[in-house]
Amino acid sequence: MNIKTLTFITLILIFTSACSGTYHAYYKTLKIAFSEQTNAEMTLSEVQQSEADVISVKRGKRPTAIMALAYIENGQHKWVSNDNAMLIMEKGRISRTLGLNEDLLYLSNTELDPLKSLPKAPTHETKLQTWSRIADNTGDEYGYPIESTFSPQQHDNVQMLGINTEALLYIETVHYKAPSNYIRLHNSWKNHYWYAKSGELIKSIQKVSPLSEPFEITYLSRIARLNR
Amino acid sequence: MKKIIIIATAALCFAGSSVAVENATGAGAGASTVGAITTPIIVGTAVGLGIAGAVVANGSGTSIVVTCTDGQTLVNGICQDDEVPPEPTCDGSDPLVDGVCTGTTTTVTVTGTGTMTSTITVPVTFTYVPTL
Repeated sequence: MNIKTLTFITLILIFTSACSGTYHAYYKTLKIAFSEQTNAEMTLSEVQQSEADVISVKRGKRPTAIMALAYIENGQHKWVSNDNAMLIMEKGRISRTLGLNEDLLYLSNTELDPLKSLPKAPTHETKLQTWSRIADNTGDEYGYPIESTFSPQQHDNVQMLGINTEALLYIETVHYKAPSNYIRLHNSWKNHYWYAKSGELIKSIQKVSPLSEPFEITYLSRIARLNR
Repeated sequence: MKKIIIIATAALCFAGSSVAVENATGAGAGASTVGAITTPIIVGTAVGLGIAGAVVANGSGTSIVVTCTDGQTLVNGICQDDEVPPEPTCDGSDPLVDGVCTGTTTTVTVTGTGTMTSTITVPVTFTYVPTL
């Protein structure tokens, strides 16, 4: 908590205590609002001892959470969180979400998702790929066409569990192709995917719609296995 | 032929061990999870502004203090006369003691026989509920 925040809280408390007998309620509200939320973290040994595969997920500005792999069905990885939310992923792309305040309900054309053929061999890397699909989201947003293109791979590093892993980074530029029911300033965004040299996806930052919060997903168990 | 099969089997075994196996634990996966991804985000600035607004609204408000005179009680913001309980009364000059009236009567008793009679007057007290 920095000095500005502390000063602000102090001033508010002084003013409220002078004017009102409800300052206890104000104090508790401020305490919740400014309390430091801690990230969920795991050590390398904890990840290795975990029965289920685990990922680290940071959704928007929330603290980092650890999610576990519950099922692998029909090529879909189904990850669950401690608060009963579920992310369903196909080759690292979120294709459906459950239990969030804004859910991705459906994603079409997933069989042609370029992520399924990444990382590309060097001979193909110069060719940009375009992929179109239709998405249904909660909030009466159905059948929205989305188009994305992939940039050539870049060399990067992923630092996690105290391990620095060399990676290939692919950036996907995503365009929302339909007018929205609501005012929307940004119709495009970028998703990031980091692949280990062995070809396994080890990290991604992705959004499912322009207004949704980004998911930063790090595959802890995969990183642990790569460095066994 | 047998050698080829054995070598192929061994090769498959090694190949299998090199593939990373992901562990999905079904309904028990929840035990490996920590933290939440669905909690609403509390924006500190918004909360601060909200409370500041509440303080301002509270400060600009007015309050009227109503004071009632003696013998009146404030009921829903209106002074109302207190209800005076009725005085209990007893018959005649009977005293009222602790909410109970005490009456006295005399009983005349004649004792003896023939010309040897005498009259005795005995006072008898009784209690009764006062009239409201």
